[in-house]
Amino acid sequence: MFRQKKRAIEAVDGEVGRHIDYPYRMNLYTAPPLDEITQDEFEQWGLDRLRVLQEIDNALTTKVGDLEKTVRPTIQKFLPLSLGSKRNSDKERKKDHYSHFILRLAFCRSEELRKKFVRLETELFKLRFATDDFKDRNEFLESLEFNWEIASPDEVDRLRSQLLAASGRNTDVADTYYKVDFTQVPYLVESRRVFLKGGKAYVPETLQLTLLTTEYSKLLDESLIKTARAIPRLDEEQRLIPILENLAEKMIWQETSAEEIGHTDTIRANMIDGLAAQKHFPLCMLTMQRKLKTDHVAKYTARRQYGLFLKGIGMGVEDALVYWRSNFAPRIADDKFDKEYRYNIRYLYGLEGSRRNQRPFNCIQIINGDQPRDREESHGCPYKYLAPQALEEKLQSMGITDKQSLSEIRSYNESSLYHLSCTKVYELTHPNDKTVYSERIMTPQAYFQRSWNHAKETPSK
Amino acid sequence: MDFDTLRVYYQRFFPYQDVFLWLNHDRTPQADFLDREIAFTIENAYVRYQSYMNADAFKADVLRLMPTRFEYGPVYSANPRQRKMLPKGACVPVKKEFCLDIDLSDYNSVRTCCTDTAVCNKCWKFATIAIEILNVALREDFGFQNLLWVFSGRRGVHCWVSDAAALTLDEAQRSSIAAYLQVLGTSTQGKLVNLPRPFHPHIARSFGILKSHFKQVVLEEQDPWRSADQAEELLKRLQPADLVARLRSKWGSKEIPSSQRWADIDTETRQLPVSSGSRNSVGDAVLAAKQDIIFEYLYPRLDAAVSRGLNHLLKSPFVVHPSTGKICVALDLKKLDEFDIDAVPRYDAIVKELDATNDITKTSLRDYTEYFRHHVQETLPKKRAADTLDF
Repeated sequence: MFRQKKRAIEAVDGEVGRHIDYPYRMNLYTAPPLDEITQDEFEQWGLDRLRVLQEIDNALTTKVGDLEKTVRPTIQKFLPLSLGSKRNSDKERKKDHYSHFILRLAFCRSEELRKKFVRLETELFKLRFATDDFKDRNEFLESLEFNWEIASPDEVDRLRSQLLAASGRNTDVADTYYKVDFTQVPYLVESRRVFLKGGKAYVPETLQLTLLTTEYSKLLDESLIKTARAIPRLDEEQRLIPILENLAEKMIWQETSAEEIGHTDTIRANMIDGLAAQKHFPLCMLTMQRKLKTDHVAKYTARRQYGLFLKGIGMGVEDALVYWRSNFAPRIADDKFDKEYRYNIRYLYGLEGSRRNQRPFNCIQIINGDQPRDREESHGCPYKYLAPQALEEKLQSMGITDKQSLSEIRSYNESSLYHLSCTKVYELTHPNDKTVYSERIMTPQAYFQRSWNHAKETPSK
Repeated sequence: MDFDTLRVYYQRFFPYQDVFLWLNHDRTPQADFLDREIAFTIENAYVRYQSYMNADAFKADVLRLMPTRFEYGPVYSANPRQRKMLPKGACVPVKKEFCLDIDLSDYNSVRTCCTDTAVCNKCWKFATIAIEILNVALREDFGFQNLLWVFSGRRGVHCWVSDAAALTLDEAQRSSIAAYLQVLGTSTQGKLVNLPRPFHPHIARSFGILKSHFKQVVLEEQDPWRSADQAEELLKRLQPADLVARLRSKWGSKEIPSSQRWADIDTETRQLPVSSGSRNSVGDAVLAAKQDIIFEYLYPRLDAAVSRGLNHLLKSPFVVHPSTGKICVALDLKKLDEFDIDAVPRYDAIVKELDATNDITKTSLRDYTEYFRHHVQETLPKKRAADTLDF
C-alpha cells in the first residue's frame, strides 16, 4: 500500500533486529510493527496515545472552535511528530506506529470502542495531514496506491461544464477526477462539492484528502475487526490482556487524571458536610449535598450522580448507607428507607442486581446528560443549566466576586466549555494550590482529589 | 372511522400480496420481508416489532388488530419478534428503503390558498414540482431506478427508493443524500436560500424546472404579493436599496397582481441611474435575488429526519389515512398532472362502489392498485430462463 523499505541494521544493544524504516511522517498503519519493545514501553506508549485521543474527543464534544490549536499542547507532550528530516524523528515515528497498534489491540473488542477509535484516529490523521509540510505530504500521497478510478480525459472533456460548476469556480482547476461511489464521500455529497452522475461522484484532485480519510477509516475499521478475531489466539491472558483491558476501560471512562490514581483514603459518613464546607466539592456535588442536607431530597439522577461520586472519593457502602439514611431523615422514615433506597445504594456499589461495578460519572457524561427540570432536581452541571445571573450569585456566595473572573467564567459557559469554568473556579477557590496540573478537570472526583491532596500537604496551623 | 367499513377495505382491497413482493424484493420470502419490522397503531397503543412469514399471515393480523394505520421499518439482522431472546446487538437494523417525505404544511409561509392541514389542487402543485425535481435527482445523480411515490393521505407525498444500493446505505450516507437535496435552510439560520454561484449542476437543473412553473404556480395562482403589506415580503428580499425605494414609491399602497410586481423589478432596474455602481453588478445582484426568491417559493421542502434514519418507520402505501379517510395511493408519475387531490378514493366510497357493482375490478381504486402491481412486477428480479422455459 505504501512504499516501505525494510533493512537489517547494526546491532542495537547487542541485538540484531529488523527495523522498519519510516520514510514519511504520515502513516496509514498498514504494516504492523516488528521490533521488540518492553512491557513498560507497551503500556506507556499506549497511555500516551490514549491521552491524545481523549483530548481530541473532549475538544470535539465541547465543540471548541479551533481543534488543532486546542489539542496541540497535548500532542506535543505525548505524541510529537516533527516535520522534516527523518533522521531526528525516527524515534517519534516509531512511537507513533507502535502506539497506534497497541491501541488497536485494546479497542478492537466492541463495536462501540471500534467506532470511537476509528473516529478519533481519523481526526488525528486529518490534523497531521493538515500540518504536514507540502513536499512531505505530496511524497506520501504519491506513495499510496489506491484503486481510485480516474475519469478518462474524454469524459472529463464531455462533462467539463458540469464539473466546473460543481467545483464552485468559474475557471478550470483540475484535470484529474477520481470516479468513486457517492457512498464513499458523504461529506462531499452533502455539501454539493462534487458532481454526481449515475451514483458516481467525480472528486477533483484538490479534494483528495476527503477520499484519503474515508479510505483510511474504512481500512482501519476492517483491520480492527480482523484484530478482534485474532486476539483469542494471542495467548496473552497473563501479560498483555490486563494492560489492554485497562486501556479500554480508560477510553470508556476517561479517567486518566494522574492525581486520581493511587487514592486510598477512606471517607467516612460524618466527614461529608465538613468536606463540602472546606471547598473540597465541585459546584455540582455541592449543590446536591446542600439540597440533601437542607431539604432531604435527592431525585433519581442526583442519587446516582452524587452516590457514585461519594463512592469514587473513597466512601464505603456501610458509610454510604449511614450518610444517606441520616440525610433523608426525617422526610423519609427508616423503614421506607430500607424498603426503597437501601437496594439502590447497594446497587451503586455492585452488590445488588446485575452486580456491575458502577463507575462515577465524568464531566462529559454529566454535561451531556439531562439537566434538572424543576427545583426538586439537583443533578447535572450547574455551569450548564443555571442562568448566568443565578450562577453569578452562587459563585459570589463561594467568595468569587471580582468582575474579571466572573466574566471569564461567563464566556467559557457561553462557548459550552463548562469544564473550563469549573477548573477556573477551583483555581480561584484554592489560591494556595501551586501544583501545576497537566490536565483540566474532567471529573468531579478529580476536583475533589486535587483539593484533598492539597489540604493534606499543607497542614493547618 | 367506521370500523366495519374499514374491515371490508382491509379484507377485500388492500394489496397484501403486492406489498409483500415490494418489501421482499423477490418472489420467495427472504429476510427483507421475514425480518422486516411492521408497526401498528391501534387506537392509543403503538405495537412495534411485528413481522410475518408471508402476505397471508400479515393480512390475518391486520384484520385481527384492525389498526388505524401501520408502518414499515427496517429489515433486522434477526427476526425482530425474537429480539428479546437474543443477545444484545444480535438484532439491529441492517437494511431499509431510502425514503423522502414532503409535507405541504412546510409550505405555509409561501402558500396563500390553504393553511395548516388543509390542501387544495392549487397548492398540490408544490408537491408535483417537488416530485419532478427529486425524481430526476435521485435517478440521474444517484443512479436509483426503483422509486415509488405515494400520496401520504392528507397533504404530502412519500418516496420509497428500493434499489439494492439504497437498501444498504448507512445513516451518514442517507443524511448526505438528504442534505444534497435539501437546498433551503431553516428560518433560524437567517437566510433561507444561500446558494453559491455558479450553481451546482443539481441546482442549475432544478432552477430550470422551477423557472418553468414559477409564473403560473406562484405569480398567478398563489399571487403572494398582491396587497401592499404582502409586497413588503418581496421588497425585503430585493437589493440594492435604491431599487427597493423606487419600487416602494411606484407601488404605493395599491393592490397589484404579483406578476406585475415581478415584471416591475426588471423595468425599474433598467432605469436605475448608471452612477449607482456598475450596471453589470447591479444587474447581477437583482438577478441573484430573483433566483433566490424562486428557490424559496418553489424548491422542495423535505422532512429530512425521515430520510436520515435507518430505523425510521414510514406509513404503508394503501393504508387509510385516519383523519381524512383517503387511501394512501401510489402515484403514477406519467399521470401526475391529472392527479386530483379531491378525487382520491376514500375507503367508505369504494366500499359503496363495491356494494353497488359487486365487481372489485370496477372501483375507482383499481387504477392505483394496478399501477402498484405493475410497478412491483417491473422491479422484481427477472425470472431465470429455466423458470420460463424460454431457452
